[in-house]
Amino acid sequence: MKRHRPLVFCWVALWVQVWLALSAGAQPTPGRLVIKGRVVTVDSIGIHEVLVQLVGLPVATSTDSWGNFSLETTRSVAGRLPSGPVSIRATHAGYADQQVDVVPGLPTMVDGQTLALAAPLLVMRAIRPRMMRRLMSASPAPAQAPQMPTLDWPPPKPSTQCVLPPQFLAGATQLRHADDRLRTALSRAGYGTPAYYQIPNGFALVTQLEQISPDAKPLPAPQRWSVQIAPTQKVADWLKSLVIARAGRFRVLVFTVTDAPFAPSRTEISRKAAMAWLGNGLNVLPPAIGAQPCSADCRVTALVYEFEKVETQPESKLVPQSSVLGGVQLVRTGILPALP
Amino acid sequence: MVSSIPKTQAQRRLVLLWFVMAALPTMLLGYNTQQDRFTDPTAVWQWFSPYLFPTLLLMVGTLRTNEDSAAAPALSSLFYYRLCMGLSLFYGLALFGTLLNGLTNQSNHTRQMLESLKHAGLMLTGIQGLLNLALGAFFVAPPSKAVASTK
Repeated sequence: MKRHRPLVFCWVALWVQVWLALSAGAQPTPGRLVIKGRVVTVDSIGIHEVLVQLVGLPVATSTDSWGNFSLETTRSVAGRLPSGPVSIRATHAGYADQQVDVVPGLPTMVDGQTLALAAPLLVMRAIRPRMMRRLMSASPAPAQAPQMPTLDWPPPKPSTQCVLPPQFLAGATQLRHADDRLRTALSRAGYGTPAYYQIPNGFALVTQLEQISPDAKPLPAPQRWSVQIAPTQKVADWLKSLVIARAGRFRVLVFTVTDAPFAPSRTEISRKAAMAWLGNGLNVLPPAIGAQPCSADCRVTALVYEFEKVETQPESKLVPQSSVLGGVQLVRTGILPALP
Repeated sequence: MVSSIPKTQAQRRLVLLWFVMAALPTMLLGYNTQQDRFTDPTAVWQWFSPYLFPTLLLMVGTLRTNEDSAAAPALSSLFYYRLCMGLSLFYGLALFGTLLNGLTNQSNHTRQMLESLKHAGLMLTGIQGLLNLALGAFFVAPPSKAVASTK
């Protein structure tokens, strides 16, 4: 018997462990609350990365690329819900917050039971920049990408201006469509990366300062992008410069995309301030602004700021009225014919 | 080889050269002044005038004095005459070039006219001193006796 004691002991230990394991598995699982639903736009398109949170509890999740979400929590956590309807709130940049009631009151939950609730369809509406500013000022904004700078509005007085034909925005449903078309046209005309600003109900796009000839045609590179007046290249031009003063002409283009009519102010801007526009704006149009709808009343207006520098003046001055119309200038820069 | 030249003839040739040299830059500056190309035209002319007009006045005055004189036609050294001609021509080209450079700088917006003139004045002052010495020695030097030399 003494010889078999270790064997007996092992058997007993083995069955004790089996019994303990089975006992643990036999304990009842805690109840779970699962709320499933979907977040869409007014056009029934699912919105990705929408924050969906359970009102009254620090429980949240985010939607997938189809706009579906599944909010889960345990019974013990769900038990801390305040009395009243069980609600969920959806939050996303560029859209108004949306809150819906899932059930009038939390049903009784049983251990081991999963309570699955179907949330009503959440439809989120895009909000305009003005409303966005109001909302952001009302509540502390979380740490996000830099806010879009705003352009002086109404804009300073230009030398000339031109409203692009409505065909330019044909088929555009969002502001980013207008941005894509403008960027393509500017790129084909040889312009570099523009700067973006926020304006009422839209955005503004500012080009780099360029040097032009008296007939508003851009000079060939690299003189085109030089802030210094191009020296004379030909002997005839040099002889002419000995008796006739030369003046340098520069230009900055500002494209505004908005459905709000506006009239430029009487403020005259300096060349230095116009050059600062390019450095202070964003390099790309923020997605939240680009996702905003482009209504049928939306128009693209080109504001042309011309500056002239004469020999005897240290600073350039804004040309009050250009001798070349805005539309003609857009053609001569190569922007207008390049528009899709 | 003739080593002298009649003094009156030499003086007249020098005066003619100087007037021709003075005419072009003076007209150029005058026209640009009328076109209001200079921020301070008074300063530009104050810079320009001393480089030409005093010497011109001296030469014209000396020429007139010599014509009034009843002395016999005098001779002057050919060497000095050629030296004065060369220096005068060089000085005229330097002065005209300075004006052209100043106008070019201003039209290219790299430097104002007056600033260019002030920079060049350092060089022109040295040349002017040398030239005035040569002209003075030529114009007031006692006439040399005629030397007959054979080739």
